Amino acid sequence: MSSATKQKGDDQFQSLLDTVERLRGDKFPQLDSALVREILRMHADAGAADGELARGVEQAVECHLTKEG
Amino acid sequence: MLQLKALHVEDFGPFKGHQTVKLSLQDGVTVIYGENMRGKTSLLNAVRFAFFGKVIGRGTKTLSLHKVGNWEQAARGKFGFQVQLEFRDEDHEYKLTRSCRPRNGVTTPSSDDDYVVDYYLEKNANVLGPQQAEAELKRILPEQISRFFLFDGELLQEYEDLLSSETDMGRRISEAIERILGVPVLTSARTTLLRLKEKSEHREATAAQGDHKTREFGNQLADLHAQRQVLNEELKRLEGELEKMRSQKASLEEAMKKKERVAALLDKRDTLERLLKEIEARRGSKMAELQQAMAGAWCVLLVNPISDATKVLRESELVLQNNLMRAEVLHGLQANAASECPACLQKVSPEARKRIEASIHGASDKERAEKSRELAAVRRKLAALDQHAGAGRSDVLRILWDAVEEAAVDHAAKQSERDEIAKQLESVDEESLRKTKADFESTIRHIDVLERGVAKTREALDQNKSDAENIQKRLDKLAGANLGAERRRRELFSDLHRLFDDAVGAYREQLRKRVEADATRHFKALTTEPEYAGLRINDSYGLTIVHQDGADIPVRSAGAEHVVALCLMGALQNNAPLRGPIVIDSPFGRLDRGHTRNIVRALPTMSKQVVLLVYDDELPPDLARNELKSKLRGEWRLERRSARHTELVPRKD
Repeated sequence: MSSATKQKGDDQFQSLLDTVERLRGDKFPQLDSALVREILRMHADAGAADGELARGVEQAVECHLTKEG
Repeated sequence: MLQLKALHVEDFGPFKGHQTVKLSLQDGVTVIYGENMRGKTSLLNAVRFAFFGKVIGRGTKTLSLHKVGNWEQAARGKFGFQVQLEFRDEDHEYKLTRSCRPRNGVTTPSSDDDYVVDYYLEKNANVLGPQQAEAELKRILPEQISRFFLFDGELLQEYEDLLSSETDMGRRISEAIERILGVPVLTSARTTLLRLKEKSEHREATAAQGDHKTREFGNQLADLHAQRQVLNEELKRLEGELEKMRSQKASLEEAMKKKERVAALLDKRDTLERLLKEIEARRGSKMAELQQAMAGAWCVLLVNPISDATKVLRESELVLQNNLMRAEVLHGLQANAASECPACLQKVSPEARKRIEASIHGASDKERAEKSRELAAVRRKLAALDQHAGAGRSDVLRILWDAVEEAAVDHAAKQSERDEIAKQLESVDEESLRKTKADFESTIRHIDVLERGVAKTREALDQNKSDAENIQKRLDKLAGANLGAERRRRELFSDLHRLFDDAVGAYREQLRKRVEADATRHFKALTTEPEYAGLRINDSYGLTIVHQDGADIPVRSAGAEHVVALCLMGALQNNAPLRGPIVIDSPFGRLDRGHTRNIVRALPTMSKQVVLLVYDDELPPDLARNELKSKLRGEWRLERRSARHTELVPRKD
């Protein structure tokens, strides 16, 4: 991947994450920041089909709930 | 970033045989000059064909591949064509080859069905498998956003539709803009979380059904979820159908726009034909009136004798009438001696009676009857003379004749106009135009029905959600065996969904601000009007020119439209993660020299690689050289060999 394009893609992800993270902090502080980031990353990479994405998110949430006890 | 290295065409459009145009990988602009009909649009289409297997005519209509091959080669029995595109993306070297060849066994193809389109993609000299190749191409340049990279300058006009929320074309462009800017990352996360939230609600309902304390609420929730699933499916179906119809409407709108002039001519011709029929009917009725009036026209010659005779007869009528009346009165008085005078109601004296008897002496009943017949005869004559006097009135005849003449002149003028239009419409496929119009109207009706269906289903879904929330609140007050874990899951998905839902709106708002700022920066560099202060963006990414006094410029010319659209392109390139070359066909056709100069100067800031397809008058080579200087990376010329043969050669003059 060319550094310019990768940088551009990273910039966009960061921009999306900043927006989501700001809202999380303001309105949903009870939500786990790492979980939110993981969900966003899965959709930004978006190579997977819809069904696989949903399964991935579900697993991430299960994992989070288990950790929380 | 995607960068084009070389385009090889073989028998594509006017490019006979194998020909190549090489493009520099250094940042800058390549200009390809060609007069009209030399193949500029074909060259843009060759790039499009390589990436997407499609060839588009003026506008957005897909062209028949059978017509794309070189005609001179086809005349010799050689059909089909091939395009090969060499490009670089993310430090990988690619070679994309797409061909269109006659099917096995077809020697003289006559339609697209007689061809097979095939392609393969090499990455760093290794041929990729079909699925991998497809995925790579979709990643490198998704077709949905290709309009921002490969476009016809004339189509920049379409961006005006972004200013109106009503048009389907505007909605399509707006969606493409959001796609290139990365909004779908958030919207797709929101969709995933909505699905999972609903699934967790269903799980919670099922868990509640298993516990006797919460069973009733669990059953109600389960029913509501089952209903919601049906409603969601129906909504999806309706929205899918609606999208299809809107897309169809946009295509039909586009087709109608192109045929606008012809449609106007057809309407005018139909109106003229209706008017001609009305004039013919009017003339027919006036002719009938005139014929009737002409039957007595000879009476005009007898106007004076008739008038004299009428005068004599009127006098005679008066005398006879007086005599007859006098005789009637006297007889009445004689017959009734005691009667009073009918005029003065005085008693008639004996002397007066004597005078009456002397007066009526000799006037027998027979004579009175004779006078009465005489009077009737005079009156019949008068009536006959009156009739002929009326029939012979020349002013009535003149009015009727003028009306007939006027109708004839009007008819001839309209007929000539109708014939002129008919001549212009001779080669027009009227049936297809009427069909397009009918299809358009039927599509609008269908869209209306679907929109009402969508609104109704959404209403039902809202009601369903509100009912479920109420039950959920009551359920939350109760504890159950598995309920706690399911509740926590459901609450987490619900919060995540709300977070991403809010994020979609917030991110869109940020994007709009960034695009507006970048577009304004480009606009200030491009516009030649010093009083224009910038651009203002709307919810659909439509841009309005703002005057320095803060007022919007409500109407803008086609040239201004192009400038604004180019500013949007530049802003999108700057804000999108996916960047690539801009290949534009005839971008300056509607622009004056000042704007052309500004745009040429600004092009290298809009994209790292720009390819311009222009004719000399549109962009004089000296202007391009002076403005671009070292950013001018190549100059090519489309040279005519024959009407169906163009050669791609480096420009050296």
